[in-house]
Amino acid sequence: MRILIVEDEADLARALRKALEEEGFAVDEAHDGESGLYSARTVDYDAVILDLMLPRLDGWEVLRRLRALKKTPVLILTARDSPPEKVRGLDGGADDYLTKPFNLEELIARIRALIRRSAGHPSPVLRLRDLEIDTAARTVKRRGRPVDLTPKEYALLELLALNRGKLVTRTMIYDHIYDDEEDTLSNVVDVYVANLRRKLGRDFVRTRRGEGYIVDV
Amino acid sequence: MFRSIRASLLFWYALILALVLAAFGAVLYHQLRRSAFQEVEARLWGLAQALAGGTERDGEKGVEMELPEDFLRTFRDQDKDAPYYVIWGPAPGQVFPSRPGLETSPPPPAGLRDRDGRREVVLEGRDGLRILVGQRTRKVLEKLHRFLGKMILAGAGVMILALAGGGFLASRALGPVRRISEAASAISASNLSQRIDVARTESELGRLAATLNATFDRLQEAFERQRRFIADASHELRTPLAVFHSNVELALRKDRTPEEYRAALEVCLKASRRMRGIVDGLLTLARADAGEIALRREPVDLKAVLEETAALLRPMADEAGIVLEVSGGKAAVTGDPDRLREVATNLLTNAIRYNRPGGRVRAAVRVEGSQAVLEVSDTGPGIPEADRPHIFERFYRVDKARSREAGGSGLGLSIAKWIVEAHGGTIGFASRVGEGTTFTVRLPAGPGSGPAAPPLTSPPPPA
Repeated sequence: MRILIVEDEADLARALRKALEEEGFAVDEAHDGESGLYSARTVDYDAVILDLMLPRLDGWEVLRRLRALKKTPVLILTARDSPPEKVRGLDGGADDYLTKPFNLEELIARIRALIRRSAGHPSPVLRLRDLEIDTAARTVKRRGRPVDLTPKEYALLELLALNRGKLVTRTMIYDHIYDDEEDTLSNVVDVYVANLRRKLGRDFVRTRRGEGYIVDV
Repeated sequence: MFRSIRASLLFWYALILALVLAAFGAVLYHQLRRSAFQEVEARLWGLAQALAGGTERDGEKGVEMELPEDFLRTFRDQDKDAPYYVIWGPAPGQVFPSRPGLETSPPPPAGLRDRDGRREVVLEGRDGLRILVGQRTRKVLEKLHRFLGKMILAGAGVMILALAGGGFLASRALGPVRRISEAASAISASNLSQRIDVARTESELGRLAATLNATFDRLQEAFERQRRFIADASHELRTPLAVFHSNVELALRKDRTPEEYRAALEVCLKASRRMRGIVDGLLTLARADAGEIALRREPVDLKAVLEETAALLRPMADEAGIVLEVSGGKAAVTGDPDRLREVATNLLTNAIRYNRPGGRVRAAVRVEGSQAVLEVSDTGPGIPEADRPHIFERFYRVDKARSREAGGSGLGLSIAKWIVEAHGGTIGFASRVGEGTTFTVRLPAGPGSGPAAPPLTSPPPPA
């Protein structure tokens, strides 16, 4: 899953990024409203963490302009804690609102919940044929037995499972699993898909040549 | 004595009215009584004189009355209230009352007398006769008493009417006071928006209401300012706190390398320095507001202050690629050197921070008449028109986000303004967007100038 952090406090953005990366998220950072809006418009992020007091373009404006185009889940993370400001943020199209200082684990849990809800699977445990994917603990069981996956394999599996029955293109995979700074080779995805098939069964995922992958319900 | 103004007003009103009525009644009654008795006396004198004129002795034993029968009949009337007479002859035992049952001895001296509810006149007639004419005053007194009763009744009526009218007037006059007090008591710290309806309060009370409203306006403003200030302060503290908190949480999530711990601690140190800057600034301003900061009074050379400060800040300017120039000559002022250094530090730091890369900061000291002037100009972006009135407000920032990044507490200019004003000086600025800003501090020059003797009154907090 790929997250955008729009936060002008570099030290805070860095800590957030690190924590989210440790949870297996691909994370991009933007340090002002303009570049944040640009990134959020060009990439299909799974969630955006948005500060309100931003240089160049404030968070409310970023949200307003983003909402004109996209449904990306947005969590506002700000020091502004008055109820009218929370109402303004949520009514402005934000999906969640968290005030600084915040608890890191809570923020991560809220991000996971946001992503689940936006994919239409409010339960943290996804069941797919003989698989049980716990998105909170990031573990996978096959027929009750744990399966060992690398973080990237897990991220790919989660993406496919959340979009089951739908075509997942290679671009989508690159967008959701890698951040801007990661060097991605075109055949890396094929390697991960091959690994997943090896660990979860041959027919787990179908390839649509030239288009992408699909997991049947 | 009374809890309500209305009751005490009515009480005094009634008391005064009662006294006035009583005095008036007493005078009137007295006059009336006097004139009634004078009338009776005049009649009695008339009768007595007529009687004396027509009566003479008749031999040794009797008197002869040459008076019309009608006249004499007046005295013989059996009505007890009719006038009567008694005539004494010169010899003892010679008494001739007009009707039986009259007191006949001894013969009274001539004159007017008043006894047993009767008025009597006595005069000397011809031939040594003594003539008394009298009348009971009962009827006169009864008339007077009836009049008195009517007067008391009328007085009571007047009192009742006057009190009712007075009560009505007092209520009318005090109604606005009641409304004002109701409105005022409804206004509390949590609800400062209510106001007294000035349109419904008249004249002097209208002015009172307007005055109270103005006071409430100021109170509300002060509360609002305080509320905003606290909100701003907490907001300012939250951001470094969030940096601190999230970095500690991140570091503790799992085992880290020593380098990672070091990096986390450095970030935390930076965040805590920022919080300290804000807290120190808040404390300074709070103590300044409370008038708790006593400024020293020493001879200070403003130029020396500027040079020391510039020397300290030169590394910061170099790092930012800013040229820092200091010029001017000695300028003696009286004041607190540490606080004046704080002003210079603040102005120079701002000029370095909010400058363009490769920009220039010019700081100069000069004496202008009785003023020592410190001027700091930068080649930064300038202050937009809309922000200019707010520059000295606490936590006010031109570029909300950039300034935080640059590390200011948002209180520097508020503190500088307080220090300059506490020294009896002024601080102002001129700015052109895109060209730069010049801050000018003017302090009274020479010995004997500078801050007033402690305790200092602090300037009011910025609006």
